[in-house]
Amino acid sequence: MENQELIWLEQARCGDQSAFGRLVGAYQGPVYNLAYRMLGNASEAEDAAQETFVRMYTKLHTYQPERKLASWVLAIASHYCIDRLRRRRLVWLSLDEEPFVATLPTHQQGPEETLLRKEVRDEVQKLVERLAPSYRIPLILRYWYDLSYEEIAEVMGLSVQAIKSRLHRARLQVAAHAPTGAGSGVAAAAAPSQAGVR
Amino acid sequence: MHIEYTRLMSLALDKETTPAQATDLRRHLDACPECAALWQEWQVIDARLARAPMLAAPDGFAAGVQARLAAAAQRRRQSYWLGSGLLIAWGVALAALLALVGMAVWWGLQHPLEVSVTFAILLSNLSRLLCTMETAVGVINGAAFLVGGGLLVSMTGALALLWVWVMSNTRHWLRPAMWEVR
Repeated sequence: MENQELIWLEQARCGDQSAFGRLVGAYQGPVYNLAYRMLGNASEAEDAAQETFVRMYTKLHTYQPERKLASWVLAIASHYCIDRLRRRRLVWLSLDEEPFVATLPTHQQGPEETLLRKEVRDEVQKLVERLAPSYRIPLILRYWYDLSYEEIAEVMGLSVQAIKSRLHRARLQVAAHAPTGAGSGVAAAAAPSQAGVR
Repeated sequence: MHIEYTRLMSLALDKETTPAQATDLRRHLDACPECAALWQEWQVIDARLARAPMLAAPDGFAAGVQARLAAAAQRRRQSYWLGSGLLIAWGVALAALLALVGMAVWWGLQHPLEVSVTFAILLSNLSRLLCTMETAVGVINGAAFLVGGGLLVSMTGALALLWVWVMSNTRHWLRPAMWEVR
C-alpha cells in the first residue's frame, strides 16, 4: 500500500490533482482522528485536518522517500495542531454540537453498544484533553496509531528517550485526572489484562 | 509511589521492558501496595485508551481539501500578478524619478541638498503608502509589502548613490575650499 501511495505522491508532485486526491482519501481518517484527539472539537478538527493536507500539498517536494509516508503526514498534522493549540483563544462551543455521531464509522450498532462506545469515547477524550499538547501527541500516536517509540520520535522530531519520558509523564497526568472508574461499566468492560508483568 | 518504578510501568504497558526489568518490577509490585494500586489503575486506563475507536473523517472532507487547494492556487495567482504589477510600476516610477533628479541637478534647477530633502520626504510618504496597502491587501500573502519593501530599499540605495555622485560632481558644495585648485 505504501508503494502505491508513493506512486500517487510522485504523480501529485508532477501536478496530478487526482493522485493527490487519492492520497487525501488514504490519510483523511488518520489525520482527522489525530486533529480531533488533539483539538477536541469536530469542526475545528475538520478545519485543521483539511489545512494539514493543504500544507502537505505545498510541501510535497520536501518529502524524502527514505521516510515513512504516514510518519511524514502525521508529523505535519501534529505540528499544525500544536501550533493551533498555542494560538487558541477562547472558543465557544455550540451547545447542540454532537461531534461524534456524524463521524462514527457507519457500521450498524445496537443502542446499548452505541451508548457504551460513546461513553468510552467521551471519557477518553476528556482524559486526553487534560494533557499538555506536548504530552498529548505521543499518547495519541501510541494508542490510536500503534506507533513504536522510534516512529513517534520521528514524527515529533525528538529522541526515543524523550518519547519514553513524555509517555511516562502523560500516563502519570492521565492517572491523576482519571476518575476512579472501578465501578463504572466502562471500567468493567475494560478490565485490566494480566499480560505484561503480571 | 516510586517514580523509578512508574517509569518501568510505562515501559511495561508498551511491552518495552527487558526480562530483567520486568522481573524487577514484578518483585516491586508484590512488595509495594501503593505502586501495585497505581499499576492496576494504569492498566484500566491503558485498556480504555486502547478501546477508543479511530474516528472517520466527515462526508465531503476530500472535496473541502480540493476547494482549499483551488482557493490557495487562486491566491498565488493574485499575488503573482499583484507582485509583477507592483514591480513594473515601481521600476517605471524609479526610472522616472532618477531621470527627473538627474535633469534637475544637471541643469542647475535645484540644489542637490534640496533634492535630497525632497526625496527623503517622498520616501517617507511612500513608506506610509506601502503600509496602507499592506493593511488593505494583506490577504495577498504580504506580496505588496515584500515587493514594495524590497523596492523601497533598492530605491533608497539608488538615491544614496545618486546623492554621493551629485555631491562629488558639484562645485561649491559644503566645503568649497576643497575644490579650489591651488
